[in-house]
Amino acid sequence: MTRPRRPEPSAVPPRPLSSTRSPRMTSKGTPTAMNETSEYLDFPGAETLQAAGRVAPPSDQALDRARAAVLTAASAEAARQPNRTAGLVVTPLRPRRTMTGRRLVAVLALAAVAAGVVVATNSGAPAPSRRPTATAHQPAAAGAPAFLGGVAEVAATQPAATAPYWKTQLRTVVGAHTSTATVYVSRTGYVIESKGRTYKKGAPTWSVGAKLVDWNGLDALPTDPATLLSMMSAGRAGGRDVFGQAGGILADSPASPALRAALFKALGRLTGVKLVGAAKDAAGRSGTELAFAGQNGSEALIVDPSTAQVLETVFWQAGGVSRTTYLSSGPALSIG
Amino acid sequence: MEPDHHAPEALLRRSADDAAAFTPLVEQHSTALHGYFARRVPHAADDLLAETWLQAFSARRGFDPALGTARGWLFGVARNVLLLHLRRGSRDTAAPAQETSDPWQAVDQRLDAAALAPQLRRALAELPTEERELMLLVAWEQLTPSEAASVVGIPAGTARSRLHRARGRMRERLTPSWRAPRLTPGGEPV
Repeated sequence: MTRPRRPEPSAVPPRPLSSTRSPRMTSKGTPTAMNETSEYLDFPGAETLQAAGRVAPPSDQALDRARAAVLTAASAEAARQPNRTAGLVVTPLRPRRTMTGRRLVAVLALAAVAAGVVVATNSGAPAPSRRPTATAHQPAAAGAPAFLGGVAEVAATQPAATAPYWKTQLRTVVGAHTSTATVYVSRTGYVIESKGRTYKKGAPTWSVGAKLVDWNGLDALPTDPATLLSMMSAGRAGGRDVFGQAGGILADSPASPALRAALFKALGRLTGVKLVGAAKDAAGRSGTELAFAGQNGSEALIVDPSTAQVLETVFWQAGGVSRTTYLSSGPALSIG
Repeated sequence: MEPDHHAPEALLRRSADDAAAFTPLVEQHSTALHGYFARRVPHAADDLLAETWLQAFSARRGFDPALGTARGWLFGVARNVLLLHLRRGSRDTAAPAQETSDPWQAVDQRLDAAALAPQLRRALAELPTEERELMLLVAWEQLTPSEAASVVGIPAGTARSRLHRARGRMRERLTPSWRAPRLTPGGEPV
């Protein structure tokens, strides 16, 4: 990277005018008078020294990460103290393309849980207009990569599981039908308990590109986001979109912390992923919603940024909506 | 005078109970804070900026407008983040721990790249670390001496006296001898 030789306007950022500050500089950044600061910089070469401090302004990506850091912190705090953190909206520093669609009301929005202000709630049957659609005016995906980068860091720090089973309690709503189930995944197969009945199945499988992988297959996957993204994108014509593949593995599989982190990062690189904002899942838990308009339907994920857990996945298709809420997902020493 | 509800101090104060008030601060101060890191640890600037906002948000209820400006407070958070980063880095490389947030080598490389006159670089290098840090906070971050004092965590008067001495040393080294003020052994100009 070459250093910019040309003076950058941001090098000496004009300070916002404020009644609490002495008017040392005019808005154009020229000294108004011999003031206290310039007094201490009254030596030969001081201007050269000041000029040597010029740097390029932060990239949009760096600013997005800064905003995402606050969003993550505020979201975690809101989850802990729902009465203290009111609605938070982070607006972009520079004008971006205007967003369209009722779902995409803000670049990043965290609504107050206590105040009942929910920006994008998934409770109740969504109206058709709420479905994310691919249009000529795609909303800018501002914030999604930064947010997902933050979630990836949380995911990477989770302890690796060594237990023989991975237990997931889930509730699925398709149309008027609701079903609940507890799934125990092992290296050799899986057991489903639902409505008092137990079903045993062969090796569990998750989609990766055109292939299906089991638990051992997950362990063999690369943990480099770019490689993973290209594997998931390969030969998926007519299959599940990358967003759904990643969401599926993140929601209910025993993927390692490294793989989970890589999947969140891969989602951050995926074109078309949008950060919708704060949302509650069907169980009333607060998280952040990501949406994707795919080839075969539109999907959404609600993620808890403080734990990197997927709370809910929603899939809109011509035939209707299916919603799966993951009430718990984690290692288990035994079945039962 | 009407209180300015958009002043950073008012926003930071209000954000204690209303997190939404915090977000304009990110827009107002990110460029300046990023610059602070870019000048000292260019490769980690993006990371440290995000870390600073995370820390600032968690610590926002500790801001007291009676003790200084929001800008000074935010730079104080940034300095702590920088210190931690430098300590962590020196632990990884088994080098002696850095005790200041004055990563002189990186700063000196920046001055070298800016083709700064060798005498000026040498004069800066010879400043006591604590004086140089204040000097750069004033020259580069455009902080007032009081703000710089609160960033470093020293009384404003101490900061002024250090800046005064630093200026004296810079003048002595950079001014043709006939104009140079003499310094006493204690460093105070006469």
